Amino acid sequence: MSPKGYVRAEQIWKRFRADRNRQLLRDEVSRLRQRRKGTAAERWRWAIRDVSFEVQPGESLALIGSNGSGKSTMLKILAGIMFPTYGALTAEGRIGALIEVRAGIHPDLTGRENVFMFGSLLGLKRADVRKRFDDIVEFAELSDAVDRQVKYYSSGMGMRLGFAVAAFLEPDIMVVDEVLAVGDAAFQQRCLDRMREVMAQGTTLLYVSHDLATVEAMCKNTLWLDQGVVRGHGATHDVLGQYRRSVEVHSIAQHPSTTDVDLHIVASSGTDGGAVRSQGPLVLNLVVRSAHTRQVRVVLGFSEGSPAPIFIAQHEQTLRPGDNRSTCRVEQLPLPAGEYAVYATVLDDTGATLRNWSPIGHFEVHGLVLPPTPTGVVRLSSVVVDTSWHEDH
Amino acid sequence: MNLVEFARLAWRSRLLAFTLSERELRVRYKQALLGMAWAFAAPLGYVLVFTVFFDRTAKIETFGRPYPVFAYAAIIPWGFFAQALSRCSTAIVDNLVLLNKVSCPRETFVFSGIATAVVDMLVSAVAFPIVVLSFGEHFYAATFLLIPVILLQVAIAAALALFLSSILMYVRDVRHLLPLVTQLLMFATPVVWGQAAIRQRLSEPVFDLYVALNPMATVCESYRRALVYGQAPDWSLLGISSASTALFLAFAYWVFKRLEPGFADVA
Repeated sequence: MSPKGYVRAEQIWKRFRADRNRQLLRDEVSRLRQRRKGTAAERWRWAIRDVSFEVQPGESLALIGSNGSGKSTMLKILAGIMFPTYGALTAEGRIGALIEVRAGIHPDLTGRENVFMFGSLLGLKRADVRKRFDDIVEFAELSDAVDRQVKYYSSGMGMRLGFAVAAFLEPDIMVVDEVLAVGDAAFQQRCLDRMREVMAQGTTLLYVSHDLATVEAMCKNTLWLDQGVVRGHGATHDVLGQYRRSVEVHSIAQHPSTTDVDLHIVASSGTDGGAVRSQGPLVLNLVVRSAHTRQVRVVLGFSEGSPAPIFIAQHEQTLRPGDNRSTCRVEQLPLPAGEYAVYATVLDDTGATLRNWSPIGHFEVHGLVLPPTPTGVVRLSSVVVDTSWHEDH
Repeated sequence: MNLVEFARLAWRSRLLAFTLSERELRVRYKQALLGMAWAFAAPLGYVLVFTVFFDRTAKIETFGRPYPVFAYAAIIPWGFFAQALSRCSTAIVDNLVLLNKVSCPRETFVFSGIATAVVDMLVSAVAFPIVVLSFGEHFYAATFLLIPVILLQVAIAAALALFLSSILMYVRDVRHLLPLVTQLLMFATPVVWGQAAIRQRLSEPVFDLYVALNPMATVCESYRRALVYGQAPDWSLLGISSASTALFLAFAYWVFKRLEPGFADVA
């Protein structure tokens, strides 16, 4: 018997019927008839293909990937909501699944009734819920509203209630699917704090999110799924790096190159053509190609691969037909060691977009390593800043 | 063993089942102005309709008891059965939102429907003493012998509910057929008329088969014997019906377990 909180997935496969959209007797009969004739073209779609991983008690694993990559399906299998087609899953202890916080909440009942209702849905005894009731109400900031029907709650209140119940019943395994997106920033931070607390008590965390910053803040390890297949698995920082680069490659592939304005990087370098270093200069040699003479604004964004830049730089210039060479120089690059993408857009003098925001190249930075954030603290932007400390005696 | 496992699961999920049915009842009675009165009024309506349309037109043999009392006694368990069937067959389909988001034993939704139907049955029986007294009839100690009969009717409802609710997930249109089938079943069961009327038309082995295939016949007749005539249930018929119900339940639970892994996929 493994300890509580232990999770192991062994070669999980999951398929769905691709042709299934109705559940009517008519459809079943026609399928049976086809099968008898031997013309049954049963189409299956594999949502999860051969996924294996292991999480030790008290550890955390994030699942990342683009939409439709099988994250939520995998999470539902972990939570015991769906069953794998092939493969074996071991999950020891009570599972608290937050697939959608408002799901277990009934609008016609009061907040108080819902707390007990939701508690017993998650497998808790009435006395256990009563013991934690005050904590739950306090965390959800409901106070007097707790005796009001939930249909008169704001959506934020309903969500807070759902999260509070799940977070205070102390499960051995906590499964969280993208539920924090609804709350305001302050509540999100309190949720992260609460998750950190339960993890410190030995709860295993399985977390799905598109918000890579919170993934980085919460999870030691990350599993990257791409169309149901594991693309990367390991330390969060490394896997996120791979994932961000793939996002960049993906958006290059999507960018149509048919506009009459385009630009690309000819060369990127540090001082005197050397390697780019943290806190050192970055020199980008650009070529902007245009069909006509026009006044434009060129905006460059420096990112870890995603279209959301860490910082931007812009320049106004007059383009002549043909190639226009220019140099962009960043004096003190605030980026830690790693790979970065340069995104760019070109706008005309009315502000209209001449070239869409997409990557034009990437460069590597050597030098400073980003200090790790404490668990539960979300770093908004990965910049390094030169600091000096003095201890006063 | 299939049935043992079933009983264990039923016991373990009792809390959630009760909470779910409590929620159901609360919501229902919060919304309806007359609340409990609905469960209370429905059987009285049936008694009235049966008396006017069946007893007046075709005199039904009641062996010296007033027809409204005679009918009411069987309407109590039949009302439970019809209620449990319509409620529980859609128990899984109606809870798709929960099913897809929360992991809990799927049987719980069925159990909670049955628990709700039991509560409704108790409420529906409230007017029975009034009817009994107003016709100058008596109460009998044999009423307490109905306890094993209640267990039997719950088992019958559970078997059908498990079977139908899981099938319905895959062929949803079947539910439109259910009310009709339930209505027809009522006429194949001693509700409007007594069991004697059915018994005299069938030979002995055929009647035993009928009791095995329709255990609700035994349930309704046992209610009538205890509440109207003060007699104990016919134990041999109760035995036949219980044995067949155990088989149905084992089969239904097997079907449910076979289909259960796919519920979330077609949700």
